[in-house]
Amino acid sequence: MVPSNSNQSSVPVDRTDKAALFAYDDGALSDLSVSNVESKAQTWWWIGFIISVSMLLCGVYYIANLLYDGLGLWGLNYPVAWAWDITNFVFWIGIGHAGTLISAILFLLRQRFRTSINRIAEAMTLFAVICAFIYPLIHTGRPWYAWWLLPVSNPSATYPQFRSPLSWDVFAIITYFTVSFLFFYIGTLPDFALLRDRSNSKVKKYIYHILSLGWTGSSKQWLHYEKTYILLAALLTPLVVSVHSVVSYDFSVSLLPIWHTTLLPPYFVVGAILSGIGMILVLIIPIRKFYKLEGVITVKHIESLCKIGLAGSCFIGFCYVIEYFGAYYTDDIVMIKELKSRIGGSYNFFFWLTIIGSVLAPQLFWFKKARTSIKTVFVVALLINLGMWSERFVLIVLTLSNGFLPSTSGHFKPTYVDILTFVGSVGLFLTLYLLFLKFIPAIAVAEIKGAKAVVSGAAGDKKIPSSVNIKAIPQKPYLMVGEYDSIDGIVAALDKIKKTGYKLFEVYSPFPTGIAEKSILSKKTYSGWYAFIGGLIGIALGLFIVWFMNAIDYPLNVSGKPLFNIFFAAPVAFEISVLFAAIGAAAGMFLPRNMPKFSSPLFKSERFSASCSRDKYYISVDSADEKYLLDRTRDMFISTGASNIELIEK
Amino acid sequence: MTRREFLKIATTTSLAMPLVVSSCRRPEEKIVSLAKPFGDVKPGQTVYYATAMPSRMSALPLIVKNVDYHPVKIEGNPLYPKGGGTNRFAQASLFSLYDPLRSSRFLKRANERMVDTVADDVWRVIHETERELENGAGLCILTGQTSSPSFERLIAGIIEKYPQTKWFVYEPIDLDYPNYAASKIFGDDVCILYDLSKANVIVSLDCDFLDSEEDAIFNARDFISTRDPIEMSRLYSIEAGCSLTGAYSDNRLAVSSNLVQAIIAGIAYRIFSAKKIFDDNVLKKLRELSAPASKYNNSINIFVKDLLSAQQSGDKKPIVMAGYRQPLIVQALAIAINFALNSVGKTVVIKKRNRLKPSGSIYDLATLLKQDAVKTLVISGTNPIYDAPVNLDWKQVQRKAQRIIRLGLYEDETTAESDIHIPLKHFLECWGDARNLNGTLLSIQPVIQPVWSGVSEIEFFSRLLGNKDNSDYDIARHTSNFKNEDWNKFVRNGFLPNSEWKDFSEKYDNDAFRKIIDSVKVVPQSSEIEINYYRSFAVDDGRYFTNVWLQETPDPITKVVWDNPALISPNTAKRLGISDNNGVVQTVAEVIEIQLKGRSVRCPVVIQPGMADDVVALTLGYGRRINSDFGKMNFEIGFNAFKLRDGDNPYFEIGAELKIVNGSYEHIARVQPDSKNPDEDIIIESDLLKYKAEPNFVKKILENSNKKKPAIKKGERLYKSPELNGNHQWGMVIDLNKCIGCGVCMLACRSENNIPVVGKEQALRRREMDWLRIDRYYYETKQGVKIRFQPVMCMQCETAPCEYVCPVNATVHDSEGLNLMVYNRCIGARYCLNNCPYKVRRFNYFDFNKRIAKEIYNSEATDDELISSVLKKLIGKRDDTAIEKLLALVRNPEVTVRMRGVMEKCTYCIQRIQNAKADKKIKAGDSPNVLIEDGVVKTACQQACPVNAIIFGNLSDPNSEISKTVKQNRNYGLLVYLNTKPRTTYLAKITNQNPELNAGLPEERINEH
Repeated sequence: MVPSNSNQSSVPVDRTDKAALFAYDDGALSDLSVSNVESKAQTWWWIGFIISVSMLLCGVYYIANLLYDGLGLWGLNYPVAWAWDITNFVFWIGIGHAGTLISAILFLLRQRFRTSINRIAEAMTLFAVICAFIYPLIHTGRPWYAWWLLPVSNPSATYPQFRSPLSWDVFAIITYFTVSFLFFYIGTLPDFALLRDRSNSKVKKYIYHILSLGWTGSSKQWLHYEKTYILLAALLTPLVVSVHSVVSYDFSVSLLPIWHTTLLPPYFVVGAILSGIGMILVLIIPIRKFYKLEGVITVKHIESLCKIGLAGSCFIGFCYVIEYFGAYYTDDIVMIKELKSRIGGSYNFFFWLTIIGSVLAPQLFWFKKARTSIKTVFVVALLINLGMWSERFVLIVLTLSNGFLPSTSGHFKPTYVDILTFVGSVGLFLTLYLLFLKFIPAIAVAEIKGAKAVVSGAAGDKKIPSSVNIKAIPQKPYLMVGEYDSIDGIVAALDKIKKTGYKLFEVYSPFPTGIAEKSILSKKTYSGWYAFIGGLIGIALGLFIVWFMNAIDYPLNVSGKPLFNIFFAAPVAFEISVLFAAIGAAAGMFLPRNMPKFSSPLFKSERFSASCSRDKYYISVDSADEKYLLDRTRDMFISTGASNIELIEK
Repeated sequence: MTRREFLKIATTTSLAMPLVVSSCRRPEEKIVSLAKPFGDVKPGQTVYYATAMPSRMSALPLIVKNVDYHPVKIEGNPLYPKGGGTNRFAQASLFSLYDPLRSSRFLKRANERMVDTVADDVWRVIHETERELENGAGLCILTGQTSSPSFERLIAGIIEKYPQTKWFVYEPIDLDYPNYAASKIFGDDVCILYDLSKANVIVSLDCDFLDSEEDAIFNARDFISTRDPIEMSRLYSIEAGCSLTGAYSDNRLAVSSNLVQAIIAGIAYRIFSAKKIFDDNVLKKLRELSAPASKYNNSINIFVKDLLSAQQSGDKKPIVMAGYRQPLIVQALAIAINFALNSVGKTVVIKKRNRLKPSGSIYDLATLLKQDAVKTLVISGTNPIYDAPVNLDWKQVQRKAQRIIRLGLYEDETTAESDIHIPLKHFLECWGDARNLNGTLLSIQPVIQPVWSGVSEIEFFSRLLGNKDNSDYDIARHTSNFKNEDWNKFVRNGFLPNSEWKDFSEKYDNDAFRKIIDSVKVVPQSSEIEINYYRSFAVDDGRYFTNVWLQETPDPITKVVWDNPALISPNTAKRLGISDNNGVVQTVAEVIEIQLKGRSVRCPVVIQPGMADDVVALTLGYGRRINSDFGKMNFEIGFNAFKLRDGDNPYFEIGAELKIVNGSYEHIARVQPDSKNPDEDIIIESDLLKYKAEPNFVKKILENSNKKKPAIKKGERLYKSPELNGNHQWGMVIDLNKCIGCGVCMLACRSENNIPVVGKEQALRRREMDWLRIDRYYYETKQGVKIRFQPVMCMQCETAPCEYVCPVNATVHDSEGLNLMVYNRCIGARYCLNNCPYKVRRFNYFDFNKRIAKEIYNSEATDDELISSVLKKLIGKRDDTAIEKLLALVRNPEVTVRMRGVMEKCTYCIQRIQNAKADKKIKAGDSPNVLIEDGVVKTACQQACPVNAIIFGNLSDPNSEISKTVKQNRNYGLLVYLNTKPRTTYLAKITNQNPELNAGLPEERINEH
């Protein structure tokens, strides 16, 4: 099915997304939203893909070299033992955060503008976390022993040392990736179903069928889906804060000047949001152009993102000021010296790049003119990325190159391997991103339809059914399925169904209507309980791991610190708890035996398959229902304006 | 025998073969161990042997630790009076023994090329030569200086048998020059020794008696013994460059080397006038001579006043010392002043030497060669093609000899220009004997069968005498003429007690002195630039050029490794327009061209604070290329300053022109930036008078420091720490007042702990691996630049910041307070290094232990004019694994060799602690007495330190030396405000400045923030 581009060109770029979305009906919206998957790869995609893959291969080659030869290929040295590796790690993790912010926090805050961009943002999160994850692995001296970071007994019979923020990192990243992935995947299920229904090729259909886990869009599925989705969003929100806080502990737990401040956790979180907003702007601006999504991702969206960016930039600017203020207020001369060398020292270029990129440039967003000028926004977004990268670089490298003892100061100079591994990680990110654009709808179709449905107030029209497709009555039990063009029909039908007293019926819709779920079906889902129990187990397990491994089975005197203390057990317990809660929430969606369920009688109906995930609504009534009578039920469908009635064998 | 059995046996035998062949060799002659008789050495057991390391005119008594028949560590001989410590070269000589670049084959010239040959072939030629000799006409022998009685006996024997034989001695850096000058004055072969333990005021005129003079470690030991802050001696240093003596001195005067003459003349003039010793003519001449130093009259007056008043005090006496770099007149004046101050016989001891005199110097040999009077020239040890004075044009001159026989440790520049090359044995492979500077007879015994084929010098000369089968053992025994018991005792102890030279009792000759004074011309004042040539801290005069341990040990002052940049003062740099890039980016140096009387060299230049203005300091011994059948140093290291050096002015010459070579830069690897004016609490220092007035100044400084203090009050804890309940609680104190910054501890640590060498390229990237480093700080005071040293190794913090950040428990604490590093558990996250406020941890960015073979010896080198075309062809087979196997021998078998990706650091030589504990436990048996006595465990750095600046021991024993030391009011910990509770602490430095010199010059730090 090739989307028609005719009505897009006629859509004027309006300042409000409401109006813009109204220019489409659900079908057109579906066509548009999956156009990135269905359209043949354009030239720009191929060029981008080839470049990205070459960058990736280059990175792979140099990482292989690095593994073979040693870390010396990077420019790391004696005082500066962390440089680009950790800079890039923090940079990628930071980018990941904006994705979660947009998809989870804005979801919780009911910011509906997020629906146009949340898929892109979530994908960005996943890929950025993958890129980030590579660095801690390859930056260790002996990466083949990196598994010793996992909470299992290693060959020397010891365990991880949980006073170290590096061991918290492991849990934070694993949890973050897992939860983000669940969130992304569950959110994509209805769209996979849409792609499955639209695919012509058998292979594609089969793959999307598997990926969609047999999604039909039944109200039962939507009910669990929504509950789980909101739970995951709720779990992700503290995770966003915690993961970047844990990353900041890598610095603030140390005793080095500038690193050793309580300012770092909020500083990192806000920085992450800012850099992520920068990155998402960089990504969506070309995408909306290439896929002609200006009508879905409107200037309004970009403006909203700019506003968040502006807030982040002001906050980060405030953090910079507080950093200096703190140093002067505490009269810590080592810190003052170091902060001074930021301004005038050998890395001052990067310091000023930070100030310009992440503080000054976003100030343009105070002006509507700048916010609405796509070119300006794009340039500023790029500057934000540069600025945030150099912020991390300055924070890490400058601190390490100025020691407590003047004799230990040093200087870091990157080697070409440093640069090319970074290029490789950018390549990986872009490759994954382009593949995502090729195979997964860039717009959360179901959600955007839902968003539009709510604003439209379910203004449906009453139509005489175009066809009543009752040919032969099957011998076996069957379903009578009525097809509707609008939610209004369903509302009316549900009224009648209720009155009649049907019990075995089901509503199918391309997006969660809220009506069927609320009014008819039992509201009970267990996701919340699963999540709660998972979370409790997680906390207990986390505390046990730390206590057993560090205080009981192999107690060691580490820095004269206590063998067990809630303070250093807390991050691990928290992360494991969130991980288990998220897994619990997801289990809440799958365990009530509604998914995965790869077969459904409705798939036999071509009409259903073609349109239910697109723009039509269906109600099925089981012939086994006590109140079922062929005529009564058919009349009920006809009178409520079903556009088609079908009998489907179970 | 079945096929199977045969294979089994064959495999086992072949596997065992390398072991049998490589490790089971044992010296054939009977060597006598220090502790136990020979014969019951078990594999892995440690045996110590006494030997001595010959230097130019002296030798250093040593003991060598042997494990499995090969030496693994070198220490000073503690039995020797004033012995115990070592110097850098002695520590590093262990590497020289296993140096892959050492000459390993006999060579002879065939068709204008040096080709491999067998020993017998060479000996045949030698015998032919011997037969041709009738009375020795045409036979010339050129050697370096030596103190070996056997050597002298053989040379004397040759001259007796062939009376026309001539023996010449050439040392590019002649440390014996003060004795030569004294001999000239006294008309007899004498040597001057100093007893610094009795000195109260010392004026050192360009005399680095703490480091680069002969037998410096004994001087250092004596001198430092007078530096307890109760009754301290005072040291004035007058010098052009920055020596360790200058850095240690209480008052330092930076003047160009040619002004030293004027300054000592000024001192002499005033002292002689006061004492009325010489007549007016002499005084007048002295006054003339002192004219150029009129600028320094104030200082000179103060020196003189101090010297005269010091002379009055009972048994202690002042000394005026002149360094080997200064000309005859300065030496003569120093001797005369010491006589005038009545120091001779007390602090200055003159001994009568009894040695064979050479026929002349290299100049006399050159004259003979030019007359075509040399048939056979034997060059042993010394390397004149590389280091002969340029005005000799030695390369051309040497060719006049018909046959050149060369004995060398290396196939070097002179080898390429010889007809026969004979590889020499390393001193650890030889029997021999030597004399210390004071004449004490020392024994040299081999501790390993020669690694390569080779002969010792004395074996060669014995052959030349016609004694074909004499081994060096026979020769040394014959020279000593000891009975069996005496011989055993002699080699067991390593020295013969009471064998010093006799005191020289004759009065000195005023006439000779007068003659010297009369012959001296007044140096005209000049503003031209003076070139100074210095002995290298690392490679001496080039003889240790291939020793990578020394190459990688930073110069104590400049902190440069693997290089010898020219040094100039900041003012001179400003005048010449050389930019000061000595800040954080230390690797790039501008290149200058130095022109001196038609000769010129290009070299990188580094700005050295504290140097005299208008002076360029060049370090000799670099810019060499060494080849062997194993490969070569793969990059050019430094430049050859000998190319500029003229024999008439061997150590300094005025009239140089400096030009910046525009746009040309070189990379200089420096392991520390120029750290100026560090905060007051890093090196805590006071002057003697202030210290006496305020003995608790350390506490005061720490309390007044404006650095962040821990929020927790003393005594309060946020949490309860696990107890440190071990039997011993180890601790270390470094006495900054004793430390002279020589760096021998770094080499001892490298040797003991198998610290890898990383090479210049990696050093440029700042990846040096030293567990112990010596921080050098400059203080800009109104009197000039002060230089201070601070050895820093792991502080074994009780609340170590490195430990809690390690995610895998790779660094943890033990019950005895040691901050352990478990290499096996390390994954290399490097957080510990980041979080260490002292930055004492080192990370293996590469597999440095394996990399050295590839990096340093086996890469392709670019062409260089230094290598003659003949030598280039000599590059033989290259084999990484062979080098690796060879270098494995140098390692201490008790210490792990770290692989790449692993963090490493000092653990107070834990292997020594564990050995001592095991020994003690075996001794204790069932009794509970398992405490190690104080002083039994010595760390490698402590043992090597010549001045006992490092004290180590058990803090929980209240009677141990360390417990007493930490109670001293000078004790302080570094960066304690971070609440690290370091176990290694320091004793503050106390200087004894002359308050008069400081009058009007309040000593304030110039704060430069």
